[in-house]
Amino acid sequence: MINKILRIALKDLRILFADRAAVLMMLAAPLVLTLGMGFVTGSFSDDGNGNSISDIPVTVINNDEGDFGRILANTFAAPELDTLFAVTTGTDLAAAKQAIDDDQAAAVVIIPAGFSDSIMPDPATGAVSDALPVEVYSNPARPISAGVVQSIVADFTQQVTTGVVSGRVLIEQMIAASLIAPDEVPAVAAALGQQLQTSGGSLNLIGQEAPVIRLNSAETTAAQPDTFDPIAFFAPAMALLFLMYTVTRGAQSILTERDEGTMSRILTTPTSVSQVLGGKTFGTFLSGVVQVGLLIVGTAILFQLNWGSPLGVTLLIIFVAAAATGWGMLIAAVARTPGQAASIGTALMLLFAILSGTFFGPSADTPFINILGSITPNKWALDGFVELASGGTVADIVPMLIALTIMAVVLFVIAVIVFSKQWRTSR
Amino acid sequence: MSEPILTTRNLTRKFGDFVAVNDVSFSVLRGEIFSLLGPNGAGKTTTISMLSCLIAPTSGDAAIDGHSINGNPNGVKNAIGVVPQEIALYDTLTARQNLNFWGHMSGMSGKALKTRIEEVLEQVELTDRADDKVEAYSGGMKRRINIAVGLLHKPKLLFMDEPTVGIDPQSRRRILDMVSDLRDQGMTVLYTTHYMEEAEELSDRVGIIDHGKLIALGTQKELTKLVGQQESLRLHLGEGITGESVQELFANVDGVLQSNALDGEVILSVTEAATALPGAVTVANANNIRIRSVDIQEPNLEAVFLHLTGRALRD
Amino acid sequence: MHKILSIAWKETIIRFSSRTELLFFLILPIAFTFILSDGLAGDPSEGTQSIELLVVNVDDSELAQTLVDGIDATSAVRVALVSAETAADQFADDATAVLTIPTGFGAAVNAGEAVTLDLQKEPDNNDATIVEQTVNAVIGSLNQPLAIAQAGVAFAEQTQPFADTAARDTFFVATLDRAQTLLADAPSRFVVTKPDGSISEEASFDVTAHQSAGQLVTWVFIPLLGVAAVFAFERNHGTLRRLLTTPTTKATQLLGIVSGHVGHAIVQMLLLMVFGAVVLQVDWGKSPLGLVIMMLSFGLAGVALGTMLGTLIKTTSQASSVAILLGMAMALLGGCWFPLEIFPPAAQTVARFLPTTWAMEGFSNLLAVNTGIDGVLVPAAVLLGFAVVFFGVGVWRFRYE
Repeated sequence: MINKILRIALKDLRILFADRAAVLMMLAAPLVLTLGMGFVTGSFSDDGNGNSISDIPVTVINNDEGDFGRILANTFAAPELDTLFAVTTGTDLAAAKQAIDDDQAAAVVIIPAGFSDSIMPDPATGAVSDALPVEVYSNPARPISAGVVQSIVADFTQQVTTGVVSGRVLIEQMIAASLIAPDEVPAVAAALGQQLQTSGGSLNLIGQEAPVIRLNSAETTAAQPDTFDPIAFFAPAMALLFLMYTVTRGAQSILTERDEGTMSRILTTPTSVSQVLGGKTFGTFLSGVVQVGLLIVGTAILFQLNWGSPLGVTLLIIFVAAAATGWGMLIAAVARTPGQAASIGTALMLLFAILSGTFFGPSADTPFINILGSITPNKWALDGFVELASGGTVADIVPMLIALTIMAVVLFVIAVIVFSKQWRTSR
Repeated sequence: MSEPILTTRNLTRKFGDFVAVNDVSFSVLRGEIFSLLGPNGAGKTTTISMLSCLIAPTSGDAAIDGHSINGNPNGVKNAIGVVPQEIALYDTLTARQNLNFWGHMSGMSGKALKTRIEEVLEQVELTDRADDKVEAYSGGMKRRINIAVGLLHKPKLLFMDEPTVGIDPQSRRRILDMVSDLRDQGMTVLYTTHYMEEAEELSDRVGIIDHGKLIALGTQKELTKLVGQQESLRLHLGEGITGESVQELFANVDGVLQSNALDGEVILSVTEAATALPGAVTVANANNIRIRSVDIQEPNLEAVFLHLTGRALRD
Repeated sequence: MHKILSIAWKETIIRFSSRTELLFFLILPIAFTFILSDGLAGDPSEGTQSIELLVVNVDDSELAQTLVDGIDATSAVRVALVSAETAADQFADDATAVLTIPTGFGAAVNAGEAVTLDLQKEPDNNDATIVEQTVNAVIGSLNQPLAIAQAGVAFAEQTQPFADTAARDTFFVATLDRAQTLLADAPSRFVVTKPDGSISEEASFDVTAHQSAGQLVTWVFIPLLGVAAVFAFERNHGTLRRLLTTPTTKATQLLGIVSGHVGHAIVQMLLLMVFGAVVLQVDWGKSPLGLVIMMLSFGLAGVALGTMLGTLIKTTSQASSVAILLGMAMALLGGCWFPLEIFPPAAQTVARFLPTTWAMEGFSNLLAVNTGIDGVLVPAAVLLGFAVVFFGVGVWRFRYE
């Protein structure tokens, strides 16, 4: 009984791994894609910053004679923004714009002549001239980088606006409250303006010295010594992506055996339908275990990955292979031809990938994707692998194992019901 | 006479309204080659499928080696070997790997299996190609391995379902010789075919099946007696003349018992060919029918089938 | 011409004889575009490309909500509301930053007290820097009127002390009120301009438009590579050879197959554009001529690569595996999934050698920049260049069996 199931499973394993195209998809493809993802996310670069923007090329053209233009220009060159921006200070507007067209820069910040003068209220009247806006000439091909430049400029101009408004409000309110007389206005305005102008390069305006809401940012490394290596996410993600390929092959082989008569032939030997299907299922499961196992050992060597608890990793491989096999059996149960099984399987493989965030890295999922993602074995196993790689123990992945078990059981039950309907006429 | 190893009783299988096998009863005796002869679609494969427990009969039963196909399929499966009509092998595995797998499915293992694999490879003369993938084989070689799989566990009864379909004459010859050898070794074979010559050459007894019904059963001698001492005159007609249009003309020729039309030819059942032929030629000349050639055939299974159904075996 | 059409039509029948083909032709691309542009999440500005900030909000005041909404509305950062526990967990794992809004935050601010919010961020991480900048900007805008009112009170007190706390409070409220009004009316002191002359307040990244174009390129490209399978199939079944026994030239055959599949690609692109335009409100209609140029040149480049692959690949199952794998990889590297700008420089350089990159650039230009056909001329020319090279190799290496 068990012997035959094992025989059928081993036969399938042998057939699968003898197929060069299959091996390419099962083992080579995930490795190549992992390399590719590592490449595009910059995981192999020196700074180890992972998937983030740095050295945004920005040109600052300051046509303003006053202090405010200088302060804004200096903001981009501030030491704390050193890695974020690669600043060029220029005067040639045409050249700067050409650089944008050539996709050499993300944005040009153009500070107009008279920018400072447009901010300061007239010393005599306290009146403010029309606002001269700073122009952020942005590269539409780099919307994210341009957005970062824009936020710096926005932050700056917001502070300027605050200063201007606060001066105006103060004077108005003090007159209204009869704290000063109208003829004192020019003197007070001058005092305010002085304060505004000389508040230093950091532009600490009135009130800004003691803001009501203050952000206290602390650089905390938490439990982890360094940032999470994206490869530790992409390696299992790609392995799981192609695990779905393997179980699809399993589904295809059931239908192929049925079409080509080998299934019937097995049934003419003292072997039951349940033994055949059990053997095919077990073969698919074994293929999955072997595939993911090889990939994990392979990536551990190739990318110097530490996968964490060996027991946890082994358990996770076994459980996710079982859950994925469940999907494979469901495909076999609903598809009519091997070709159909291949199409449905490939579609599921890609859909599961997208729903489990396979291509987007560890922290880029939205609630919607999170919910739908939980129907995929990929999501649970990925969570598990990431947990283990960041030092989690077997106890930490128990929820994932339970979820995968439930998935496997439910899918197997559905598949068995469909199968038994299909095979009722025979025996 | 030895006792039967297979006995079917009123075996019937319907697919919806279509009756594929209709009330078929026969026995196969130990040590004989029994052929089921009939055109394509006559119900041969459905019968084999029921006997090998792949599909259940709608009604009726069969006993193989004392086991009922309804009551004890596993007992039946242990006794039989099956060579299916399609080549049911794993293309990307080698012949030896295939045999190894199928041996295990038949309940064999270990050294006994290993030795037996070498024996059957020898038997089908593929020992030197045993480690090539089946996909690299010619059609005839695939057929031989297909047979070898059925022989592995030395079944008491071997089903061979049209084992020579679609191969070249040379390979066919080889397979027929192989079946003869099997009989010499004492194997019991249930052989289905739509080739009259194969049934004639191989069989101890023949069952003729048509439209799901077993219409005749016996040794070749017994069956040909059904058509009496008749001979057949086969007239191949000239271009543009269909058999149907002239069938009636020949029916009235002296010595002609029956006239049957086929495509482009007419087959006349006659008491003696030599006396009937001149009459037939005269009729043809009188009606301006050109006869291109004439075959005279001794009584054979073809004639039996024709006699019973009014149709030729082919197609 | 008649023969070419016959061959093209035969290709169409073969391809769509299986209903599952529709899965790849329309259903998956639409599903992917939808999911990736967060069509179901309700807020299209919230792309998967923005940086996630974990926010622990245990204060139920209006001000706290205003702060959260303000951060979430930015293009660079999106908010994920979590419990303190989850935040600690995720921060330990991989999260970039965590902002904590404590109980009583709103009440304290309204009472004029200074409040400090904690932002935990990863060190040496530019993402974290961007988050900090963004949060500061939002807090800054909340701070403005409050700060002005507080500073006003202080300044006024310097000049002349208030009679009592009531007078002080009255002055505070009046100043706050006035400051809010004036700030709301204050002129903007910066503008964002683009090469096409458009002016806006924000250089936002239109995720939906990007995904509409990116998924279109991805899912049209894969079946075009799949043309390799057509050649493999026909070669294996001897139909190519048989066609040759008819008075049909090699060129006619090739043209028939190619035009059939380019035709499918164009129909597919049109359908996906209609979906993008109708359901996701992506403006595909800026330059119809530009679209036609792009669709043709992209279709030809893709089918040419498929033809070239067809000479290298032996079986249909190999072909479909390679098509999916290569298609996905090239789409990914070509910036169809994430914008190229977030790739490291080396990856951006490699991407220049992929047809998908140029296809994406052409379609993006049509969507983002209002330059008419000017924006597609270079990408289209490069794509046609690819087409010539791939076809050249394909025809040169073409085998009938």
